[in-house]
Amino acid sequence: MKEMLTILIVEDDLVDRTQLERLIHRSTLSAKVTTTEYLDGALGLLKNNRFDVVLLDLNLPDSNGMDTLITLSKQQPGASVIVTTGHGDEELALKAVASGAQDYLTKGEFDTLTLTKSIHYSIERKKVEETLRQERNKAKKYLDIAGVILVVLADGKTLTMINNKGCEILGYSENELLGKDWCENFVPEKNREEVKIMFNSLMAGDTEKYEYHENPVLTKDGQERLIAWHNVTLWNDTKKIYAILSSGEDITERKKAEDTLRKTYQELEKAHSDMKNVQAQLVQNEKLASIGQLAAGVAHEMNTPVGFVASNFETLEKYMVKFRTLLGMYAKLAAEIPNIDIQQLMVRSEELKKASKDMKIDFILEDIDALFKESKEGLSRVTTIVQNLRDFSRIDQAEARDEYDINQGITVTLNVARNELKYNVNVTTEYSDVPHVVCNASQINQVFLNILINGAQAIASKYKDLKGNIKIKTYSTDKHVVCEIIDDGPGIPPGVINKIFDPFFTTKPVGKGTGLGLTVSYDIIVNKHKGELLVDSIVGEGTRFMIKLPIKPVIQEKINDKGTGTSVEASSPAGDEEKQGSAEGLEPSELISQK
Amino acid sequence: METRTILFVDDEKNILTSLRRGMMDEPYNLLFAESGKEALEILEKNEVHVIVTDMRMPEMSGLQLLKIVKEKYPHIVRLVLSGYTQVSTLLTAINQGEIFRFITKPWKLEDEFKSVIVQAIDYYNLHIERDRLAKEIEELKKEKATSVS
Repeated sequence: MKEMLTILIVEDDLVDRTQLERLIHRSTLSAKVTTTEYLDGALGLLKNNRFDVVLLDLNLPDSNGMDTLITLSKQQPGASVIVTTGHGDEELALKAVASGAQDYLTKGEFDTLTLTKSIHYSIERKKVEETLRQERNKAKKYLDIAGVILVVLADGKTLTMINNKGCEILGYSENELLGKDWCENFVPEKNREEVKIMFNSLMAGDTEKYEYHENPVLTKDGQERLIAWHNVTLWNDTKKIYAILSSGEDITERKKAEDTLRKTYQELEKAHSDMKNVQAQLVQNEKLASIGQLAAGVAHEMNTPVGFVASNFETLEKYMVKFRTLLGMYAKLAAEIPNIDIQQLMVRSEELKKASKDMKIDFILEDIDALFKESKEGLSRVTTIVQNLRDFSRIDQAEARDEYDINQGITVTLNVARNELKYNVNVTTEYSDVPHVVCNASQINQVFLNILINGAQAIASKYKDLKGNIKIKTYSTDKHVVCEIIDDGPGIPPGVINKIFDPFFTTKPVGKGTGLGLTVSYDIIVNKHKGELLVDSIVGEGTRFMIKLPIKPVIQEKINDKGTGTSVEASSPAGDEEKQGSAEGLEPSELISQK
Repeated sequence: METRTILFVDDEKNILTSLRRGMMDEPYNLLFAESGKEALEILEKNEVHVIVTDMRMPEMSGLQLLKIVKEKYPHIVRLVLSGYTQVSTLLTAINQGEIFRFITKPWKLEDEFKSVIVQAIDYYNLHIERDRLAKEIEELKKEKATSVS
């Protein structure tokens, strides 16, 4: 059975109303018709009953014109509305259709067939409209739940669409926004010109250049939010750009976070570089400290020969005064000889002898050779010291890496350190023929010096007035050239040995040691030269340091290179197994080979 | 006045010979020792008025020597001639050895060294003179006391 249509006729004119009722009855429509003369009545009916079609006269006793349609449509949006107007009111009718009515009929100008058609048509149209409306709502919902702002700017200027997110960010309601000039209202003044130029370019079709941009928007409360925009242009049927669709993401917080992060990073980087400088400074200080330690010794070593050479030089001046005096006397006598007799000559000769004796000329003549010999020796000692210092530090090539003979390195270090060592240490060396290694001589010598002076100081603390021993051994293994420095000092207690390579660790009194000597040594051997620096010690018996340098040169920069193929053995500081005294199979008891 | 005697101690022989020739015209007896041990031997056999020693020497340091000298021969004026000029060394020497002067190597023979030696001799003479006078006063007091009683 065909479903019955429900039709509401809203018409105050009795004739028109009856006419409509009659036509419906006569038609093929199966319909239930309800009528009312007032809008108020219609609203009441629509409130409680569903109507498929409303036939609406716009001019009622209680409502007039378009308002009638709008008020009625709101009451039951699902009902289709056919507006009935008087003759010559087409304009109003069209307006009604544009505002939501599905069709219109001009009174007195329609028959059953027209009415039937119009009713069918309006119902169908309503359905289509409803589907469209739902689709649009759905689309709107999508836009609104989107996390980004979506705006459509007609002609690149006027805001014709904005989603919830956009309203939310700008702080306005949709109605406050629509139809406004975007740039003039929502772009901060300082950015306005730039944005306008960009929109103009987009409208002109230059979409590639401005697909992405970051620009702030001005919110209702006067704040700025930074938005990252993506733009596309909208084309109409005639292939003309008519609007810009922009999607924007609020990146204010992200930017802030990024800025903070960047700032933090920069601060960190600065802190890091400061620390590096401090470290470099400390290493330099340590170098100076150990050089300073030496300097006192070297100064003594230099001051002694310079002392006696300078003293001799002053004495020599005095000798010369005496020689001149005596020579003057002889010259005077020689000049007078033709005029004096033998008696006088004898007197003068006695005078000369006495003067010579008073001035100790015999002693001087005997001594002067010794004076020259000793002074020459003093000068050559100074020369040697200077030469030794130069050999030790290789001032001219501080950063260079070169072929290095470890035996020679130890020799020059001992030359320099000898004065520091000679009062309390007997040093013996046991050199083997070892291959040369490529390294920085001045750095390696620095390590030898640090360890030797540490050893000497340790020995001094143990023996007081007696001398201790330091034995230096060199040999080579398959991969390494090895130097062992063994002292018979007090040894390092087990609780301390783990710390000796730590920065600032020192057992010396405040002001005596920097606590960096072995840290720097470790850095030089292990980090810079990819060697090993090992220590083992027995309290009361002594300490052995083992310096291992790779025979094959390992240049620091190439370590990460896959292609070099050089195997690297870098041990941890005081690697556990070595600390226990079992390195290279050497038992602790063998450690001290001489007393 | 009797000739004063100066003892020089240094493990470096060339220092001693340079001092010997530098001081040869001065009116002193000069004695030389190459170690602290030798210096103590000389002191046992000779009357010495001024001692000039190096600080850093093997076996017995100058400081150790001066401590002994101070104890056994307190009247001897003690001087140091050293190239080891670390402040800590100087302080120890002055505080522990109670030395009269510290001369650094290298030294100026005429302007510095000789005048310090003269000062040291004067110092010694003054001490002797003071002791002599003090003794005289004591004797005078005694005489007076006996004559009164």
